[in-house]
Amino acid sequence: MSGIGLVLNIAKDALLTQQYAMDVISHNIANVSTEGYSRQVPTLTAKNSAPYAGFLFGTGVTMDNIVSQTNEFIEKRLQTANSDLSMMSEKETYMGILETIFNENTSSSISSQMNEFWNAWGDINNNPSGMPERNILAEYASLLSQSFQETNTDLSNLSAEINNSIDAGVDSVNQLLDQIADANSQVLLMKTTGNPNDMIDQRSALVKKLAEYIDINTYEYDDGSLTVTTSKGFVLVNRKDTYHLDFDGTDISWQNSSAKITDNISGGKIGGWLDLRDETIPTYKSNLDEVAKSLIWEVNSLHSQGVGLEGFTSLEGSYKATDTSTAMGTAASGLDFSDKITDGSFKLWLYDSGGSVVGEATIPIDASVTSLVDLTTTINNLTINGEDAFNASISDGSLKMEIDPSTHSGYTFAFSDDSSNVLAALGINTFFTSSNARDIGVNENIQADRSFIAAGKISNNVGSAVADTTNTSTGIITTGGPYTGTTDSTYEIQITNGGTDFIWRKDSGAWSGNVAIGAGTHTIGTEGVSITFNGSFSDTDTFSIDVEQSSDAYGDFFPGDNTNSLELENLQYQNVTVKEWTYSREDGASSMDISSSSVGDYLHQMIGKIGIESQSVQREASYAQAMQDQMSTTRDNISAVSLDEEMANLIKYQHAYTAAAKLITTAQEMLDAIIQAV
Amino acid sequence: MRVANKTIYDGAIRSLALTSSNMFDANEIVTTSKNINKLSDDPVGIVSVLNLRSSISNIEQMDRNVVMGESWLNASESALTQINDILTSAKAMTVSMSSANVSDSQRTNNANLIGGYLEEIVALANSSIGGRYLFGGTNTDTAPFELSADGTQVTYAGNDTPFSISIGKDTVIEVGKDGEDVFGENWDDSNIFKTLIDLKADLESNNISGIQSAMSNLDTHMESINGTISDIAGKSIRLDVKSEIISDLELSYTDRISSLEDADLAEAVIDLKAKELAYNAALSSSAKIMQMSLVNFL
Repeated sequence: MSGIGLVLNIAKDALLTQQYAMDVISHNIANVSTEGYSRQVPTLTAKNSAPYAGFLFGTGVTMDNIVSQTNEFIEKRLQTANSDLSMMSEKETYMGILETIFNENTSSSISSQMNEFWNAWGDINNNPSGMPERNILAEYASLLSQSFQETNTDLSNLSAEINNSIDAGVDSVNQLLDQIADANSQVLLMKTTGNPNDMIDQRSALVKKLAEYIDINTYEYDDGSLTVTTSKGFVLVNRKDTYHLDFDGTDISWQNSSAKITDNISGGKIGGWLDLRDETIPTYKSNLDEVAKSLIWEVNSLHSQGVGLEGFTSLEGSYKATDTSTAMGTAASGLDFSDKITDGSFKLWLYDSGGSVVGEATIPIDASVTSLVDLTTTINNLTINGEDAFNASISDGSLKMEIDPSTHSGYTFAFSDDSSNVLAALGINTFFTSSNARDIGVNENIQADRSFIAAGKISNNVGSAVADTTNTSTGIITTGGPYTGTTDSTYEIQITNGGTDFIWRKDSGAWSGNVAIGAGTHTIGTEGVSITFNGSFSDTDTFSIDVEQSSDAYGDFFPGDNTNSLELENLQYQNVTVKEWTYSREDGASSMDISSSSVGDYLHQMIGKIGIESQSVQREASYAQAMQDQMSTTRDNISAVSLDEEMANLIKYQHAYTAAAKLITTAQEMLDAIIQAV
Repeated sequence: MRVANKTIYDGAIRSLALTSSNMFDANEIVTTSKNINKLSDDPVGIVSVLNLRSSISNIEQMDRNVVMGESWLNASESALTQINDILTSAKAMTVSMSSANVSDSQRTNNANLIGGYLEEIVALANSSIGGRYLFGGTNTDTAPFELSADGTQVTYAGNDTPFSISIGKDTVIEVGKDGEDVFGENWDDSNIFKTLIDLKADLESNNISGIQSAMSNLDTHMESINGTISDIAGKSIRLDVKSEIISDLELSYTDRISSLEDADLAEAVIDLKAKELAYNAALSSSAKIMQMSLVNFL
């Protein structure tokens, strides 16, 4: 073809092409504010030339393609940056909440309540029998317990809230997966007609949203469909197929299989939530528990050594054993503080209805043998100075002991010198209950009657038995006590029957009958003096033992006594052993013993750690923000619409259009000229 | 470089967000006058602040303990000084009564005086402060000494652990006394009450040798009471020193908290002004740059 027809034809194509180009431009302009839109550029090419008149003439312009301006590498980097940013900003938000939970800058914070608690002991020391001081201590102890409980509840609630978010997040992920698979089918379908730029943009927007929830990898097939996997390689979308995630309330699993991929998710909001739920919150929760636990134990073990203003008539332990016939010192017993029980003994004192001491029994505890049932039987069968006053039983796993009201009405009992820790471990004569921050409380006995706050100690300055150095034998005797008599005395011992037996008397009284020396220890008299023979003895060997009375009234306790509460006040300065927990999603929980700080210091350090973690999360979040900003600017510089550019292009195509139109007018004029010439 | 419209708008939004958040933080420091408003503002500082706050709360308690200890020591000192005065009078009287020139009836009359002294000393030995007895060991709720109805025996109801208070870590100070330590452990010549009771009987029965031995016993007692008084005075000095240390510490702790926590207002305000300026600049430049477009010129 040749001639004016060709000019017209070229002009027509040019008009159309410029108009197409303008269509593309207007699409760009219209989408200037569309998130994730990639600008499209029309590709105009010269049409193939046609030969005539011995030349190759160009045949005009055509629009070849509409190309979306994207850089896949940058898009992927942006996707990762988005994942990181969503994760860090979720973490930042929740760390902010955590900081408010531990807001130590107020007077109702745990640390200031703890200061008040210690000071309340100080006030008791200044006035040990004063009820107002005792009431104030009980109040502050309750407030302190409440602060622990509330903080623990806040942490649990935060954890539950995060769990709900994870649940909702997994739902959103599944929806997005379906939509991405849908978009994949659309792209495949459209690909037959041309470049499905807008569909791909929409799919990219979906992928971006998905990346906000979890860390993913993507790969595009030649046919335009997209494969999405988690960053650890679990396939989520493959062409039109989706593999959903399941959330069972704790763990995330992959497509109904038993494969738990919880710990493989390390990015996006869900990654952030999992970090908070499984690392940050459990760490602080456990460490708060440790603070509460060491406070409870240290206070209880001192408190159980003391005595209040009056003795008990009945008492129930606040700790329960799950297996009452297993040794209490073993974990199998189920006692919260079973590990603290050691071999030792405690003293149980009995007082008559007039308040006078009847006597004392030393109850031995073998940590690896004595079970709660054994202890109960021992107490039940206990006879103190001929008085069988105790009823002991096990009620729902805890020791219950009382004065038999039918035979010993008005009698009371008290404790002292527990070297085995068993009283504190059973919750007998203790101050706090429970062993963690969730349940910490003040012992019911003390709540009901503040007289039971053990500020004093039972006077147990029992006398000593000292062997006289001047004896007349080559053999030696050693003496044991404690002497429980109320006056200074002298015991005399004489060897009889050729060295096989001995007789004894007290304070020049009547001689006892012959006792075989044999091996082992002999108790002489009823006042606790014992002797052991070593070596050989002969008749007329004599020994004398001077025993000193206790200068305190034996077994008495005084309302004005503050010897126990002084130790409790001093507890605030004592270094205690506390476990410091760290939770990691890869390695689980691990703990380290720290014994270089007091309870209060440990709490302060823990609060400081929250601040440090929050600060570092903030820093990471702002770094993630900066990365995301940078990547997003780079991406926008390639893909986003510049109105200036579009306007310039618009003018360019407009001019081209006008010129093509002019071509038609000119061709028409040329035709007119020819027609008129005909 | 190609700059998209979105880049310009995003940039404007980012810089406005950043400058306004900086301004908000600076404003918070000015309005609260505190540098540390949340844990993450200064985690290391907050640990120091919490430790210092505990220390301050603790020394406030120690201060109360010291004040209370001082009142115990003062009361003990004044009771013992009065007892010493009485013993001095008793001694003077005994010296004159041991003279052979004194008539029997004079001695009998003075026996009653000694009886009065005895009662007074028992009353002083039962001195209390706020209902707490000073000389009964830790049995502070019961009057430690009781004179029997016939006036021939004084019994001790206290114990031998002196009442103590805490004045700091691992530091307790005895502010009360074991009454037997002060007035005599055993019922013999070392016992102030027995000396007086015997003296009274000796005066009544005109036993001059008894009266003479009472003189030397009274000397021993006065010496021992003086010893106790100087022991108490020593403790008073210790508490005074502790009290000064406490007020110094409280001042320096408060100072350190303030230096960690309190904002330098001048600096904070200047900082706020600077942030305000930055925000203003961001606002005006963003407003200008966002308006510019080729569209306006076509």
